[in-house]
This record gives sequence, C-alpha cells and structure tokens, in this order.
Amino acid sequence: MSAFVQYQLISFIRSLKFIPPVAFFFAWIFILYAYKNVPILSSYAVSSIALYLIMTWMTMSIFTLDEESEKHILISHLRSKLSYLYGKWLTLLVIIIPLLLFAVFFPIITESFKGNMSLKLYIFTFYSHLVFVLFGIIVGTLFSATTFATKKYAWLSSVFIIVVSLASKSIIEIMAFAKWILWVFPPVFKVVGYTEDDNPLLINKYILFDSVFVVIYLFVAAAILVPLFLRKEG
Amino acid sequence: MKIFEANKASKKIEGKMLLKDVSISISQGEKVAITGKNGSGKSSLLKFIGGIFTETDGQVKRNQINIGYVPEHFPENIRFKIQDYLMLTGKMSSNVDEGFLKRIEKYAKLFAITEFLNTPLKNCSKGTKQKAGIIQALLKKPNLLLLDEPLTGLDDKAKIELLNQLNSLKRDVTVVFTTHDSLLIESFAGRILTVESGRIISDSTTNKKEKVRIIKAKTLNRVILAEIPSIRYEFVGEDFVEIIVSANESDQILSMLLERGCSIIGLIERGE
Repeated sequence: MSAFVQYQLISFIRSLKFIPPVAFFFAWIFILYAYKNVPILSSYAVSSIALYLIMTWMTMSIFTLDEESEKHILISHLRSKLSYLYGKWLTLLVIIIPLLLFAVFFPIITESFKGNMSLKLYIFTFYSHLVFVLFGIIVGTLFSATTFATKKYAWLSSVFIIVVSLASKSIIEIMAFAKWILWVFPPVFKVVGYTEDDNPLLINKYILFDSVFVVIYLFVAAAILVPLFLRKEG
Repeated sequence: MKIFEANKASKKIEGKMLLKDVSISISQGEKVAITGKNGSGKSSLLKFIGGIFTETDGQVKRNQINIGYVPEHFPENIRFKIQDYLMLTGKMSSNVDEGFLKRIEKYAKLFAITEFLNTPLKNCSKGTKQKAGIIQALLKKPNLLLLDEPLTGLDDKAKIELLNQLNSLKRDVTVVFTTHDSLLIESFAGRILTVESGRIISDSTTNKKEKVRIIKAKTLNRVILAEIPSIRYEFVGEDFVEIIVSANESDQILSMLLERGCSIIGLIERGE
C-alpha cells in the first residue's frame, strides 16, 4: 500500500492539481489571522471549514487523477478494487496532515489568539479539523468515485452539499421541517455549534452525544461509499 | 483447475449491455484468444474474465489469482520515468527483491527500450509505452495474463520478442488475449473465442499437436514466397516476412530462403 500512496502522491504533485486548493487554503488562513487577538474556537471553526472545502476539492482531483487504463493496471497490481479506494483515502490523509498542522499551529506560533490554549482546546481543535477533513473526503468521494460521478454537474453537486450543510442551521430556522431532510448532509453544526461563542468549551453530555453521532455518521457514510464505488468500477 | 467459470452472465454499464449470456469456463494454463469485430465486446470480455468488470447478472466464479493486465492503449499521461514506474508498480505487487532491477533491465533489453528507462513515459512513443505496459505485467510473474490487443503499436522485433516471451511462460500460466492478428492466434492460441454484439458466438480449440516454427526473414523479392511450402506467411512492412512453417520442414525452408537471397532475422518455435 505504501508504494501505491507514494505513486499517488508523486503523480498528484507532478500534475500540479494541488496548487489551486493549497493556495486557496493558505490565503484563507493568512486572511483569517491577519488580525491579532481573535477568539480561539470560532477561528478554529473557520479554519476547519476551509479544510472541508479544500479536502472536497482535493478528493475530487485525486479520484480523477488516473486514466481509466492506468486505474485498471493499478488495480491489477493492488489485487483488489477496495485496496485502490482505501489507498486513495490514505493518500488524501497523508496530503492533508501538514495542512491540518499548519491550520492548528500557525495562529499559536504567531500569537494571534485572545487567550491561551489548553489541553481540552487542543483535543477539540484536532477533533474538529479531522472531522471536517473526513467530511470533505466523503463529499469528494461521493461525486468523483461513485455512480454519482458519472452524472453531469458533479462539481456543482458537491458545492451544493457543502453549502447546504454549512447553511443547515439557518435553513432549519426558516423551515423547521427541513431538519428531517438535512440529517443526511454532513452534520457540521454538531461540531461548529460548540464554537459559536467565546465561552469556555464545556465537555458535557451534549458535546459527547453529538461527537458520537458524528463518528457514527462518518462510519455509515464510508460504509455506503464502498458499494457505490464498487458498483461504479464494474 | 478452473480459474474462471460463468453461467449466463451479463454485463451492463450505464444502461448499455456490453456482454450477454456469457457461459464459459477457462482452465489453468489455457491460452485463449478473443476475436471479433471492432466494438463486438472483446475487451469487455477480457476485463470480465480478469475481474476488472464484474457481472450484472448470472453466476460467475473467479479464482483469486495474481493477474497481469496490459491495456490496448497504455495510459498517455503517466507522470513517471519508465524505470520508476516499473519499480513502483512492482512494489505494489510486493514482489520486489534484489533481482527486480535486473529483471527490469533484462526485459528492457529484450524489448529494446534500455535507452528509454530514464525517459518520462509522457515523452515516449506509443510503441515504447506499449512495451512498458507489457513489461509491468510480465514483471508480476502473473498466473493469469490479460493482453488487450498486445501487438498494437509494437515494431516487428518487439512482436517477435513478445511471442518469444509468451512461449517461454510456464505451462500453468493462463493467457487470455484479444487480437485481430492471425499471427498471434496461430502461433500461440490453444482456444479461440469469437465475440459478436457482446455474445460469444464461437468457442473452438485449435489443433496444436504439430510443432510449428515462425521464421522472420528479410526479402527483396516477394515472388519467391509462392515457392515456399509454408503453412502461411504475412508481410510485415516493405521487406520483412513472417513465415509459419511445420517444424519438420523448417530446416529445408531456411535453406530455400537463404538460397534465394533472403536474410534470416529470427526463428521461434511454438506448439505442444
């Protein structure tokens, strides 16, 4: 698997497809921390959302990186289509780790925050960024590596999912019945909902319950993507 | 041992029926040619046998074996030098050892691409890419080798070398290939599947009891071929001809060709 990840990383870098999302990410972070004394949690919520957007973007780029015949050769070497899917996901995690670390530590190093970090904040920060990375991988995979990818407007659909998931709270405030539909979208507010104000982060039963929901959501989404991927790959 | 069995299997992609009512079995060690017109479903059947495509309907059994796959058109935009590409794909198959680089060099020499080993694949000619595609599959030491129009884009020398390599494979290696080329069928296939509109319309075995030899010769006079007692012959380019002859008569025919001013370029043997 490491050889496949190496192959994908080199291929992705040489394709130069990483430049737009990575440039977008750095621009976002630099603008976000252009001012000093910014609140910790809400700033991290914004950088998490940046990771959500660029991860979706990079996932779609990674899954469309290989030509059809190249993919078939790679699958013959990996001996399984599932290894190909897992290898792509692993590649994405390897790519995003330095960006995730940058998003977390840049404001600390530049002393941009109003207040100090604590262990509790570090844990929640890493959890929040990682969850949004995984949301991005799921949305990107859905529209680039499954039967949905063959439909027109794949990019538009993925943007729609991102926008609706980010606007879900406002949508539900306007149309209460929408909550029965919007639960299928990535539950971003079950994470960023705890970063809205600058009160100290409380570890209580609500945050634990929502975290369990998010983890279950991620596992179920990944489990659904696997057969959808296999169906697309014949 | 059966490596593939299908019973009334079909394959549909995006609403289009690619294969219909496929009922065949393939045993270990068989050399199977798939023929048919363009768009008849040859490549789809090849991928179906190898598991690259899975069935939409029907019953299929595939043994979990090591597969080497050579596509008809090698990918255009691979972003590696040939040697790096072969090393990385080799590592994916987990069979890289100390001698792996030597095996790459050996195949590169056989297929005359040694000078391109450090050339980016993107900058290589179609034929060189095709050779790299064949080498990546052979390096795997596969139990099932799938070749989609393997002679496409190859020069004459590489065609002969590929036939040599196929003939030198272990007897238990199964080879399935699509081709329009009668030379490959006659010199290598033990069984021929003919496909039309996604259906197998003919499944026949070839009689390979008699050994035959393929003589590759250079001749400036095509007329002399009429005097040669060959099974068949085929001109390759302006001056070259490939002549399939009975093994018993090959010495006599070689002598006849030399007497008539031909140059012998190569000789390979095939048969049971």
